[in-house]
Amino acid sequence: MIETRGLAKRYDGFAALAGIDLVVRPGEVLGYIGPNGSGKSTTVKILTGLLPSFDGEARVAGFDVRDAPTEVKRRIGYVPEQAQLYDALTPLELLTFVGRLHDLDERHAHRRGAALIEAFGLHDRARLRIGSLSKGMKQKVLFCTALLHDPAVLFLDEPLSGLDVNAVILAKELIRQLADAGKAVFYCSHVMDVVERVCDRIVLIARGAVVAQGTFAELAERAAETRLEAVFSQLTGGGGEADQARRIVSVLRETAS
Amino acid sequence: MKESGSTVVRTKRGAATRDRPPWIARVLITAARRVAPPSRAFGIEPDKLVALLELRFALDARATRSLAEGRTGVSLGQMLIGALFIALFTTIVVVTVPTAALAVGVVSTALWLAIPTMLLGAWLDVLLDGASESVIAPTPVGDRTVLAARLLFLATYATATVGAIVALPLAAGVLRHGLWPFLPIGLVATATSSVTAVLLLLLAFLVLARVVPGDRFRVWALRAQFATAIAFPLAWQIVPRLLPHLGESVPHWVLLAVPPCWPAGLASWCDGEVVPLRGLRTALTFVVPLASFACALALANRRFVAATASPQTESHRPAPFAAGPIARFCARVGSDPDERAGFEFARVVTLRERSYVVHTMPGTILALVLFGASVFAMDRDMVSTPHWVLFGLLPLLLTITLPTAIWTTRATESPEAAWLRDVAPYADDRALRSGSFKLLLVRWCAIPSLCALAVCSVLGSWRGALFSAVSTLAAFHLDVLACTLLDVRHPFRAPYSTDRLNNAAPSLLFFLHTLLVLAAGAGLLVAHDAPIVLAVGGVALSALAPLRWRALRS
Repeated sequence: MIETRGLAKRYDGFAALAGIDLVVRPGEVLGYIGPNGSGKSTTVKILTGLLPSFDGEARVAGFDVRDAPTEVKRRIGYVPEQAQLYDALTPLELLTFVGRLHDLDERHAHRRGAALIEAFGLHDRARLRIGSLSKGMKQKVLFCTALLHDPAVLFLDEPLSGLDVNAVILAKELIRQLADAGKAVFYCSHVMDVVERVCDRIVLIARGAVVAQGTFAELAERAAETRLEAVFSQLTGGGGEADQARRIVSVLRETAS
Repeated sequence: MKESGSTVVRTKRGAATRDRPPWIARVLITAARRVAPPSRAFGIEPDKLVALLELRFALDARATRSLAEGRTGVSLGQMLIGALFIALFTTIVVVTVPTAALAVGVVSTALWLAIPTMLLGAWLDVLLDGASESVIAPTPVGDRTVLAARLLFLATYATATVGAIVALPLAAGVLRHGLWPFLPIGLVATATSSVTAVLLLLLAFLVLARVVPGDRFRVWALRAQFATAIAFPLAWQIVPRLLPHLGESVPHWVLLAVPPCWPAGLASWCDGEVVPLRGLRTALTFVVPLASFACALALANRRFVAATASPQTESHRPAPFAAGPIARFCARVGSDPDERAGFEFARVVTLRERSYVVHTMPGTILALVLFGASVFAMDRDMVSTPHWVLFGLLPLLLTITLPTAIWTTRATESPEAAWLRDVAPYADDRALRSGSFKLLLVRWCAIPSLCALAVCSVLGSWRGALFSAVSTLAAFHLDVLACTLLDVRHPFRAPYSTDRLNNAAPSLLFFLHTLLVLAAGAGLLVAHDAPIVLAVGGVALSALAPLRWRALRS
């Protein structure tokens, strides 16, 4: 479903990605984790056809991302990390609009959008402006837009941001059931607990390159740790956070007037 | 009711509105549906084109013109006011020039000035749609369809604006030069100049998207704004000097390089003066837009749409925060540390935002007004007003655009704006806002006023200085009035707030403000040869000035 070979991207001479190889099969949830600025969002933007220039090869749902981005977009759903929505529209209007862009009939898009909004518990907000919704509600609207056309591949970039506890539980369950229905899920997150529980395999990147990949059990065994958080810290050169915190506190003391 | 950390209130603003698109939009959408099959030949998907158009018009009808909602544009109503301002100057020149060919060239010049300036300044947010990256870009909609929808939307604005610019000059030109060949050639010039200006600008953007990295595209687009803002007023100075060559038997080669001169060649040709180079100019009138369209179609690719959807707006290397000696001196207009902080913060924010309106618009308007004044000064027998009066009115006329600057400057945004909430959570936000207003007043009022005062003093000695001083004081009072009315800190106290009247509010305010400015200008023109009236008025306005200055904080 998703396959990359030597995927690379440079910004102003800075290598955001330096040759990523990965495969995601149908029915699989891939956890894609890494420190801030390691290249997660860049990878997602390339695979969703949003970044047209890159090096290496990338195929999604059987289509080359560089040559056939429109065909790729027909088959993917995308929940971005930081979404700027059309705040003057209502969630139902947005979903109907997005449905039309996905070649759904207007009535069909409206009906399915209303059903998804209902399912996400937003029915009483369906006719309010998106600008008046909370961050978590906007995130649910984004989930609806990603699922509206029943895509074969889902890209989720920090999808739990702003969601309350019940919504996080719902999202985890949803991701699992979508994978069970045969969809490939590419899941980026900093929430290690969720990655550990939901993902079939995990790819850990740092400075634009893959540091480790495998199931959680394999990664834990390699790092001799029992929690993904500890594995992450060890493989990405973390540690020393307690000293760092002490330095911050000492700066406050030293600069106190 | 509270939910997930934010207050969701069923206010008028939060409720979904059922705005119908304007009639021109409905006509366009119907036309787009009808011409669906041919558009496929150009790689445009008609159903999606209609969907995108409906979205654009719905957003425009509901937009509050707030930066918080990602809008930085100016409404159609405000644009039309600016267009009428240009139309007035153009009409004066059209009735003054001796031949129909010259008059057509003048109309064409007005369009070549206005359309790119408006496209780059006021309508750039249509081209650079930040939300499209999250909503439209991940969907299977072709880039040509996205581009066509944006162009069609812009075309409705451009059509209305072009109509406002050319209606009066064409009517006046018919009275002065007769129906044939002025009217038909004038209409052809209007159509070709508008379309060519839009297409050439689009072509420039497309080329820019090819040569500049996508994430820096917006920065370069803003740099292009600066360049255009300087180039077009310069063209206003150059083109009138070239136009008289149109009547000569051997046309100057430079005329071939100046687009407004092309349709004027057509007018000369219709008059029976068949010269090969005039034929070439006529051919350029029609060939350039067609060639631009073909090139634009060839270049409209993924890179362009991806670049214009990118949220990157700021330079990677922001302008330095440290204030220079002039800025430090000007900051003293703040009466306390909070006001001075607001002044300083507004300075840095406006500097780093690279806002077209704040940085370039004063210069553009100043150049326009100077051009208008130079038309009078070229002894065209239109008025017998002294030159110092025309220069003395500059600060007053400049205030027409000040409300736009206030409205589109993040520094004076609502208290929900990040800089007030996060950066200065314990400061007096009223004082900070007042300091921000004062920065704009210094930039938009004080500096041009001092320039005008100096010129008037030279041209008209003590009478010119007196006139300019009164004009400056009138401008100051109108500026403060604009700040007070547009103070979104108290949306339900401000009489023309967006929350109360939604999208019509800014247009109404700008319209009223413009009327006040024009009324004040007319009053000053009438009183320019009555020094006693000017002196009394000046004393009264000076006495009220400190009260108005303090009112900024209340």
